[in-house]
Order: sequence, then structure tokens, then C-alpha cells
Amino acid sequence: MFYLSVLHAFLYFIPVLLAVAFLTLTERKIIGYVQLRKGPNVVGPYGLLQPIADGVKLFIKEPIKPASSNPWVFFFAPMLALILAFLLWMPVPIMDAFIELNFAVLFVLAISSLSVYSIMASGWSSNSKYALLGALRAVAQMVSYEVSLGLIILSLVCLVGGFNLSQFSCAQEDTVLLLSCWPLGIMWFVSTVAETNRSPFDLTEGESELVSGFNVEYSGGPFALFFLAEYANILFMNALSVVLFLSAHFTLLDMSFKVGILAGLYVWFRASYPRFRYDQLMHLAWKSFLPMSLGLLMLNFSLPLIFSGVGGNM
Amino acid sequence: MATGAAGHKQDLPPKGGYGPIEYARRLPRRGPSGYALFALGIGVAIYGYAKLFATNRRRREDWAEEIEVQVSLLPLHKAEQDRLILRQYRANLEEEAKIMEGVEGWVVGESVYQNEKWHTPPPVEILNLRPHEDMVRKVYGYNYNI
Repeated sequence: MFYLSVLHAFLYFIPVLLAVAFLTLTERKIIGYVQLRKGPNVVGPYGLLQPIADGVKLFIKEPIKPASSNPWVFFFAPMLALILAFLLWMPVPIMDAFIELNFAVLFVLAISSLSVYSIMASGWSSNSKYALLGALRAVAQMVSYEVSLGLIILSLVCLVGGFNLSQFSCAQEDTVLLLSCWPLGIMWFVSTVAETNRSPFDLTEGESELVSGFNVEYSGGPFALFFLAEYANILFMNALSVVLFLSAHFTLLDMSFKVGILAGLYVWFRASYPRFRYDQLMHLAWKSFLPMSLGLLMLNFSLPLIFSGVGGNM
Repeated sequence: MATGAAGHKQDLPPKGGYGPIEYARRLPRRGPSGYALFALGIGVAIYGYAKLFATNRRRREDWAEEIEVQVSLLPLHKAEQDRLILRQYRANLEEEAKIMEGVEGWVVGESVYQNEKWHTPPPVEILNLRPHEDMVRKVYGYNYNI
């Protein structure tokens, strides 16, 4: 029985890892064609084995440990990042959740807030100006956008009447929440882009100022862990967006189709948009999204009460 | 140095000056007007809310029905529970009689209490002869409310 449960966990993680691997390949291919060049096309047919080659290369390289770094924190920060990214995937109801939580929304918010610490730890322990500044930027940005994420999710909880992610699927049987809450949906999507530090909000890795952000000093395996965590987070955010707004009906095909569209949008953003300025980024979070989501929270709190549309438990 | 060629004409602005320069951006109006888009957005939201609230009402009804079913099944459930407990209790007594066969003055199934009232044995007592797993499942069973 124990072996079965271990196998169960792997059956859960390996698809996520595979999806992450091929998301990176898709991204490089799409950006390649956007820039009128071919992406990776050497390793394997059409370059399909490129992510595997990348992974193998990264993991057989020697991870450099800077002499001035704080070794323990430096060593454990990437692991923390990847563990948290996997932990986030546990309550997502793709067909069936790995752990069935009635307060899955709170779990997700808590764990995604914790992932800030892995970035902070890595940036600080690297003992490098660039890493530290990149980590500070990343932390400030993620903390700011978590506020609007939390408020938006609270609005949805008011409408659905529960914190259970499978309840969101039940509430969206006849319609998608994106219809009634499309302003929230747009804000949510932009906030997830900012929360995962993706372009156009990728100020943490402003190459001209910060080389590559909080993970400058990482190489080889630890860097690969950060990379995997980052892309697992992106996919998780898309999966969560689909569950919250786009009515995931527990079928894998439906879910993965919608997640694929959102991930494609992420890649499209990265290929199209120039980077935000930092003050614009902060103004967007605190002066646009926060008041707007607060106002809509009041609306979404009162509307179900007025029209007797509070959600039930089923 | 050539000076003052005949017929030379100084390049000057036309009489009355140049006309105004059109520097304002002139783009063709495309798509529906802002008001129309605003109305469309509000309309979509109203439709979405109406559908969502209808779904929520149905969900509440379903939940009420579920609760009623559970309530009406409660006596049956309790009776089945009692039957299981009593069967296990009898098996326990038989086992006790077998174990304490040669002990003088031992009354099988004697109450440890002074009065005659029936006390339902707690799971720890009733499942003592069962595999440990059963008792753990009974006592620390999966809590569906967390």
C-alpha cells in the first residue's frame, strides 16, 4: 500500500514536470517564429527532445557554490521553491484532486505567499548585489500582486459560496464566472502574469540592470530547480484561472485545452510587450487593481444577498 | 562673387502665411462606440450574474434535498450501527467466556458499573478483539468536515 501511495504521488508530479518541460519548448518555438526564426530544431524530430537535453545538461553540470554565499540557505532555497510549486498543485481538481481540501483556496493563497521566501532566501544568500536587488524587486512585486489576487478570489468566494475548488466547478455548470466577473477576470489574469514575474512584468530579471535577477549565482541543478518551479507556477496559475473563471468540468481535455490557451497568451505577451517601468508596475497594483477589486468585492458580496443567489454546498 | 542676378526671386512664404499645419492624429473610427462597448460589458455581466444565481439557487435546493435524505436515513443508520455493535458485543462475550473458562467466580459480561443501565461500549472496548486498523478507522475516522 505504501508503494502505491508513493507511486500515486509520482503519477501526480511527472505530468506536471513533463508539461513544464514542453511549455519551455513551446515558448521557445513560438517566440522563435514571432521573431522570424526557427526555434530549437536540432535535438530530436522538430527539436522535440530539446527540453530533455537541456535538463540533462543542467543536471550534469557542476553547481557552483559562491565562496561568500550563505551555504545552507543557498542550498535549500531552490528546493523550497520547487517543493512549494509542487505543493501548490495538490488541491487542483484536475479530474480529481490529490488532496481534497474544503479550504483549498486558502491553502493555495498561503502556499503561494510562502514561495516569496524561497526567492528572498536565494537572493539574500547569494551575497551578490544583483541577486539581492532582483530578489527585493521580485518580493515587492509578488507581495503587491498577491493583495489583488486575494481580493479577487474573495469576490469569487462570495459568489460561489465556498472555499472548495470543486465547488467552483459546480457553480459554473451552466455558465462561466468570466461572464459575470469579466473585469475581475481581466485583473486576475494580469495579476497572475505579474505574480509569476513574467514578461511584461519581469522586472526581476532586467538584463540591463540586474543580469538575471535573484538566480544570477545559481548554475546547473539548482538553477534547473528554480526554472522548473517558475514554470510549474505559471502552469499552476493558469490551471487556477481555469478553475476559477473558465469552468473546468473535471475532464482533462477541457481543462488542458483552456490551460493551453492561457499559457499561449503568456507566451504571446512575452513575445509582444516591452517591460513595464517599476513605478508603473506598483501603480497598476496599488492604484488601479486594489481599489477596483475592493469595489467589486463589495458588489459581489451584496449582489448574491440581494438576489438570493448565495451558493450552496453542492 | 556673383551678385544680384536678374530675375532672382527670394523664397518667401505665400501671401497671408502658410495654412495651418495638420498635426492632430486623424484615425478612422473603428468598431462600436465606447457607450456601446460599455453597455455590452454590463449586459454580459448581468446575464452572467442571472445565470450564476439561478445555478446557485438550484445548488441550494440540491443541498437541502441531500440534508433531508440524510436526516430521513438517520434512524436506519443508527439501527444498523446498534446491530453491528451488539453483534460484536456478543462475539466479545463469547471470547471472554472462552478466555476466562477456568477462573473461579468470574461472571461473563458483568457490568463494571453499580447500576443496571445499559452503557454502549465505546469503540475502543467493542473493537478490542478486532484488528487494530478497524479501531483506528473508527476512532480517528476520516473527518469529512475539515
